[in-house]
Amino acid sequence: MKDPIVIVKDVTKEYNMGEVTVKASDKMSFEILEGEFVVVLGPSGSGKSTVLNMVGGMDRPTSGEVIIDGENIINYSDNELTMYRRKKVGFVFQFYNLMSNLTALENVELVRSLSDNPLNANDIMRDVGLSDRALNFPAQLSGGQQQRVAIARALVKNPLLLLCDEPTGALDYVTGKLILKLLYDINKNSNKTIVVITHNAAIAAMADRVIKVKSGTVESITINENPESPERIEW
Amino acid sequence: MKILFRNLLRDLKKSKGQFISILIIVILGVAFYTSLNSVFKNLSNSSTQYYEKYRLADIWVDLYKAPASVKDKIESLPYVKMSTERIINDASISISEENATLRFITLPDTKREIVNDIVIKSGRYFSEDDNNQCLLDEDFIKANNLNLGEYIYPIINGNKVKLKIVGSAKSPEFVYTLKDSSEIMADNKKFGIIYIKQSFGEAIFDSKGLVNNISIKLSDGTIIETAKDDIKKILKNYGVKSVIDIDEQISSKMISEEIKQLKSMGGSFPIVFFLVSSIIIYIMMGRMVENQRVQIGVLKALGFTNMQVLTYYMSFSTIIAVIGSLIGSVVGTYMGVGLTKMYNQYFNLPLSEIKVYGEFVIPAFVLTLAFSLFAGYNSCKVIFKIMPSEAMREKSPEGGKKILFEKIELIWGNISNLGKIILRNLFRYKRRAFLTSLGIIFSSALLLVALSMSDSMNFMIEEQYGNIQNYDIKVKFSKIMSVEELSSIKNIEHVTKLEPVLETGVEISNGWRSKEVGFTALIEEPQIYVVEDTSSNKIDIPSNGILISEKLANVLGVKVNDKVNIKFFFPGKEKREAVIKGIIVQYIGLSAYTSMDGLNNMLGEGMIASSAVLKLDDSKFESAVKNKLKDMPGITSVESKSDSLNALLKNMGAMKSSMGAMIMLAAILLIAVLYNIATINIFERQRELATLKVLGFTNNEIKKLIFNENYIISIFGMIIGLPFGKWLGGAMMANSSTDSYSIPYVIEFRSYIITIILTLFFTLITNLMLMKKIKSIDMLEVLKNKE
Repeated sequence: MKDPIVIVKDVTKEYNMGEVTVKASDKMSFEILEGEFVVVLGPSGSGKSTVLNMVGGMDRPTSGEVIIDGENIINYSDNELTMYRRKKVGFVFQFYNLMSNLTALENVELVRSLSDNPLNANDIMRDVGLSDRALNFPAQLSGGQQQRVAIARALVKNPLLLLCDEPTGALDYVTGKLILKLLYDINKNSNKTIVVITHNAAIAAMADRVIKVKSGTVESITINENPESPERIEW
Repeated sequence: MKILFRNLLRDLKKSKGQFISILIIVILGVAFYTSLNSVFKNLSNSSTQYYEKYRLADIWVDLYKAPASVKDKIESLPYVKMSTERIINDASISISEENATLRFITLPDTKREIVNDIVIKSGRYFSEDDNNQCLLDEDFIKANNLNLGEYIYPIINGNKVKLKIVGSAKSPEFVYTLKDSSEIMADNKKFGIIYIKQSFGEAIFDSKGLVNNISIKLSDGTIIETAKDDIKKILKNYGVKSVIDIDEQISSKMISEEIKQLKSMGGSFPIVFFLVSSIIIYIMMGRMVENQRVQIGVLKALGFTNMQVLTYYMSFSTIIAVIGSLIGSVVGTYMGVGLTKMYNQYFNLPLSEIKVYGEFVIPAFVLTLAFSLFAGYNSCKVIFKIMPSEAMREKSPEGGKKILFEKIELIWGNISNLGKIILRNLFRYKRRAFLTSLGIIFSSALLLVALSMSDSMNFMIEEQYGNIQNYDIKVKFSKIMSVEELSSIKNIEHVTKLEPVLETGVEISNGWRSKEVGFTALIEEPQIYVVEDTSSNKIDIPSNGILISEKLANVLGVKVNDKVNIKFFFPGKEKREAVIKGIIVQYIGLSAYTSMDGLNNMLGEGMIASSAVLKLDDSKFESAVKNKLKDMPGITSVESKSDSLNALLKNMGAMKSSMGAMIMLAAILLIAVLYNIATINIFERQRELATLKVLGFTNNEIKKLIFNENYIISIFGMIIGLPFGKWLGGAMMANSSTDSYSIPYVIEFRSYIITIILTLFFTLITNLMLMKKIKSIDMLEVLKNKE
């Protein structure tokens, strides 16, 4: 049995909007095991982003525990949270968020410098299939290529956990599938724990574990014994 | 449109930091414009009125001695409106152990209208009873704590004369009370004007029926030069010492020069502020329009016309101009009153009222509005090109580009990735970076000018009082003495050196170019009254020719070995020729020098002196020696170097405070510009900075991105700003140099360093102000869609 790498326990997050208090999540609990490919599934407003924010160390819950790699991060100071994100999490965003003033390779190298045990930037570029575009600026790349750079950027620091927020949300069908395939392969080949947060139910088929969220609570957790390769998923 | 306007106000509220900083610059521009121009107008009006009311002369004639009847000869000239004959002589006085000089001027025994009339400030005019009544310079009375009714005891021709102060007075002739053109600062404690009865003056100065000065008022439209020539001709036989007009008279010259400077400052200084504010408005609004493309597209799609949208965005600059002018004129009004009072402490013009000139508010407003609208229009005209459909589409990502710099692999290879972001960003927005650095250029130039002013003053003081005037005491005689007669002074205890000096006025001419200047004869190898060549080396005085100052050489258009004509005012010795043997530096006054032998060669007069300079064995005996000198006959004034130095240093306070003000302004300029542009920079790059934050960069690393960009802009600005400041300061100094003094332009190396440190320090302050903005960048920004 693998160890849980992420334990989210009774996480409640409230936002104080003047006179009203909005509950973004209400006693959410789930676990993620090492090497798993996890899909967090839910419509907008379901509390998906809260999962991303809590697990990604971008925000603290109002109550509950978030234990990553054996450490409860909810009492971390801002600085410790920064260090946590820096050392342990790789982020992939819907809109890529590359530095427009840096080339693809430089974007990867920028983040590489943050890590204690980084991987080789050129190797990663090759792995994501972009060796020949390494010297291009983001504006010279297609959306899919930019997302590959973003994945390379997330991987290069050899993170504990890869957090992907709607990684295919801004891409067309074919390109989206290629990106999912890339993530799938990374998970299978290097056993990297990957969390994909999405509203696209079809993607759930490729996950080892599917966490469905709704109205700020975990609706269900499904273990998928035989995940499908993304090539065979259609939506 | 009304609702749109509400939207605008909300936009303003969001960027209030930027709004306020632009406003400050505009307010300063308007305030300077109105106040400096008001000061200029106040001073020039008051001086004109003052001159008119009390009939300031158009021409002054100094004579050796002439019968009072020469007045009739002068008045026979058709264009002479009025003339007044006077006796003017300097004498020394000791007041509470301190030595001072009084300029005696005679007035009619009973009051009547004269040229160069006086204003009685307190007390009364002479009465018929006593002969020994006097009216004393108001400033002298104040500076020396004298009272009406008191007696003073000046020494005239070696005799103590008892005079009763019956009134205090001022005159348009001595608005600025300088003894002669070799002084640059008035010292009211050491020099004052005293008015006595004509009859009494004739008696004490041994001049029965004689006068030595005629002041002349001309009819309007008279050509001054013709009048001067005619007068010189008429008075040929009476020993004319000098004929000067209103442009040469010390007091009126000082004032008109000061007013001239104020006028040019009032014109140029505010423009810098208007320029800087328009730069900020231009950049800020350009970004605003760019960032609100979608909103503009929506407005157009909804059916608003181009003009309406343009008006909406331009109203931002209009608001700045209106609010800025309103506050600026109020501030400027108070500043104008304050500055007029401050300036007038220095001039003592009778300001009946300090007016605030509403008429300056209007051009200030028009200027502000023009600058703001021009900047606003140029940044907003892109609105015309935005198609409703286009604006609703997503903006294509901004392209990064390789910069030229990258070709130098050695440097580029060693720059960190964060450094590359900074450099590429700077080069991508070249125009913005350049405009920002304009603010830095002005700011650092202003700093350097402020610092170099004090450097130049210090240099001049050190040269003048350390090297050139190497003597401790200078005494002036009431009449020309032979050098043998000076032995009694030489014998005073503690006097180690004495050098005789002859100072007289001459007119030097080269063809049609001529100039009335001081003519000084020194011993051949002077030790304590030194003459330096243009490279500050001490030089000997020629016995067969003259030395002239660089400035005089320029005025006359002559060089070494050229011949000039010298016109002396000694009767019968008018015209002489002399060869220029060298060009010298002279900071104070405008003179020609020769040796005693040289003078003898020219005039055949032997060794004669009108004054003498003394060196003491120790400066602590200064007052003892001064006391002895005071009581000696034939000495009109005793001045010590420390006195004039102290007076000068005391007056340096004004310069120090204007230096402080300039440094303040430089700080405001820099901070306002940099803060604004950096705010825009941060706003535009929110997403990028938020991404870095999420990726695990610390706040420290992120702020370096913005801060270092600011430092680079500052450094770039200084690279241009320092030479620009050097040039500007040189031009300002050249502009302010007059016949009475020319301050050499000097910048100490230290001043460059201080300028650099201050510029970086102001940049640091800006960065600290921006810290909060960087800290508050929301990480969730990364999850949002691009605008």
